[in-house]
Amino acid sequence: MTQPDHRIFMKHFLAVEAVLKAYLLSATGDLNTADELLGEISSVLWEKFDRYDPARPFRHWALGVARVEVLKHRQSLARGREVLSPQAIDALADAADHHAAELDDRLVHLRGCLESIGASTRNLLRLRYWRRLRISEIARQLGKSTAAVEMTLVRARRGLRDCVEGKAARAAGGGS
Amino acid sequence: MNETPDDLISRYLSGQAEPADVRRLDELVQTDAKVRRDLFLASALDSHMQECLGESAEAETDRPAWWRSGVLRAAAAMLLVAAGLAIFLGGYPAPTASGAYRVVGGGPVQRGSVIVAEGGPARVALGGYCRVTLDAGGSLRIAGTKRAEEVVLCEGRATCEADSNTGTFAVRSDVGAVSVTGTRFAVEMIEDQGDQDMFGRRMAVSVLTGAVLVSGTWGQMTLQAGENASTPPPEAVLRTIVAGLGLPAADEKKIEQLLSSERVKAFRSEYRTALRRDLFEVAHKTLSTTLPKAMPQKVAPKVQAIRSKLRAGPPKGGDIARIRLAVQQRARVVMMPLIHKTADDLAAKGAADDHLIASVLAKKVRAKLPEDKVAAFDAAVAAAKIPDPAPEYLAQAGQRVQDAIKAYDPDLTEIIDPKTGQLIISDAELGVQLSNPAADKRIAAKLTDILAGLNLPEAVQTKVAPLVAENKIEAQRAAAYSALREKLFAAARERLQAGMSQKMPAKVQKKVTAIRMNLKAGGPPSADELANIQKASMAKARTTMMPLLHQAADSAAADAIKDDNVTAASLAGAVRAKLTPEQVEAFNAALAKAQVAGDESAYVAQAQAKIDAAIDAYDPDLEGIVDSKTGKVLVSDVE
Repeated sequence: MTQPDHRIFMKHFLAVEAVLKAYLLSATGDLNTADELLGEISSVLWEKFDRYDPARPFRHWALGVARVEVLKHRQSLARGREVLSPQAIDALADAADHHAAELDDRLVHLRGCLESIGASTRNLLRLRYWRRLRISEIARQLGKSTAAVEMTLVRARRGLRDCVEGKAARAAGGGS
Repeated sequence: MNETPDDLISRYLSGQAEPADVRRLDELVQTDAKVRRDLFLASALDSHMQECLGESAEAETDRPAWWRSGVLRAAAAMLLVAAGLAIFLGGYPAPTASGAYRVVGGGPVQRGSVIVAEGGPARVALGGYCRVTLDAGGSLRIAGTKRAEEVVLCEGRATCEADSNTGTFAVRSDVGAVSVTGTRFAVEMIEDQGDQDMFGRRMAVSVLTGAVLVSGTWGQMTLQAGENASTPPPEAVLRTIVAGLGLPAADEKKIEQLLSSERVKAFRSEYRTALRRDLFEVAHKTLSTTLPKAMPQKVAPKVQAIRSKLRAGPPKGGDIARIRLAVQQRARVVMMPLIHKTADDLAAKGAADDHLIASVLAKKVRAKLPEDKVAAFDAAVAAAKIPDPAPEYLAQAGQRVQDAIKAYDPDLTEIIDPKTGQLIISDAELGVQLSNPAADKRIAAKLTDILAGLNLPEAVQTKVAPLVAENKIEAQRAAAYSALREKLFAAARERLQAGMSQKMPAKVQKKVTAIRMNLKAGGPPSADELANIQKASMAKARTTMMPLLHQAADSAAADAIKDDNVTAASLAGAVRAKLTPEQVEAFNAALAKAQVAGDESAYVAQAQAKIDAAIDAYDPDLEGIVDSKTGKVLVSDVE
């Protein structure tokens, strides 16, 4: 087997990493699982890179591999736990491929939007997304109820989403 | 409760969804494209949030205070050594890093992260049983899976330790891999330094305890404790193949010399020059063929946008042609540095690519083999899976130029006045006289007469008459200029290639001999040396001559369109497309009778004469080829 070119692989992989991450989170609903799967998928992609047909989009191929890994992961989960069906996982892979182009601008806008939020909300987001604490753990740490933390997070996420969508729409319309 | 899909997505992504929520979301994902999109985009924001927040968290040191204490950090690292036990007791440890590290792009340390050691060593712990110390300046990517841990060493040196009986561990790089099941070893990526630049990449491995398996395209080897090795360079792979062929001693010696490390090192440098030339040719050809097709499509909407805003209506045909021409000329100037850079970058990359060098060396060795050994050599090369990446490099050069043209946003500054929408570039600035009202009148009258003499049916007359109207001539002249310029450039280029092969050897030989005679240095060069000097000088001359080719094509094409016959012949082409075969025959006969032949040979000859004169005047530049102080030949066998 020829040794695949690491630099070419890295170039392709880094270009689709955000799409893969988003797909994995949408298919599993859990940030830690999505991260764990992303690590495994990067390894599988690297191992199989010599089978990748450069005439086809790398993203399409990578999402195909990711879809298989998500399905394997789903099978390994304990019975009785409610997770998305294989049909939904497939449909999300297609959606990821279809909407991938919408990500770039939005992810850039997200940085700007995060700068405009207040310190306490920012701290909450950091506990959730950077420290990866569960809502119950955040509630305990902040001395608040789980429902209150959940509500604040939902509002913060909606606010950020609206901010990002607004910036994306303005950019698309050529406004400032 | 009135649940919206948005509520479901929020709960699902925050880990608060009940089984019924997941079932409902599943149903929506399968049936509603908007929900799929919303879930995907919301997931993208959530997963990216970690990275954005991570950057600020690092800056604000969100971690507990004890983490910052050097003593406790060391203690934490020691605890990680014992983490193998944790695998059996519970959860599989996630990758961790400590020391002077930075995660490229921010975010936590995880599989896929690229770790850079900055200002000191960085330590990475994997699966509780592998520990990697990355020396300052190095970088690695965490790959692998549970119990099959792996890092990809991008740059620098790493010392690795893996405990036995827990899982496998491998260090990979683009030139090979080191696999172990329990040992200590060091791996270093080495960039071989040539006189000027990077010429190769090796992976050096030293085993401290235990044994490792080192593998790559060249095969594999086992190293024991105390042993050191580096992944073999391409010449070593070929030497092994040649040794197995059972060649006569004289042939073997010849090939051994060819594959000596010193010769191969020099060859890499020379091959870089040869590869650059090929890459430049491909890039330039791509530019010449793609630009004329791509620019009109890019320019039209921009012009339209400016003029519609001003309610100025479309520009005149002649002005459209001028705009296209100006943009094309400008794009060519902008793109030239890109072409040179593409050739430089890819040639440097190619000269450092062991696969490419192995493949080129294999061709050179093959040419020196006795005929009865060629089949065995080919089979051995195929078995060693030495690829030929040269076509990929050439394809990349073409692709880069195409991408650049695709991304190129035509600049209309000083071509169109943004306040009035009027064309402001003059024919003199374009370097070609497109406006010639007297000639327009003559050509229109001549062609109208010819068409009138054909007794064409009225319907056909109605179709073709506007094509030869006076107000259409200017635009056609511009189209004729562009088309002719391409033809003249190709003809001049062909002449350059032929003329250089014919005239350069004598010029170069004369100059080299003069240098060596002046220095009284060893007489004239040998035939081999001279051949190498010729090749190197030709490569240099081609680059110097490139602007002259453009000038020759520009001026001959500008002269050609002053000729009524050339423009009339170009218009005749548009007319023919509207006629039946019988009508075309009659039209051609009438054109011949009126001496509208559209003969371009005089202008081809003009462009070629300029090239001939340039070749005659060219004084070969031997800098870097022959040392003017010693007369020594500085180049050797060039592919």
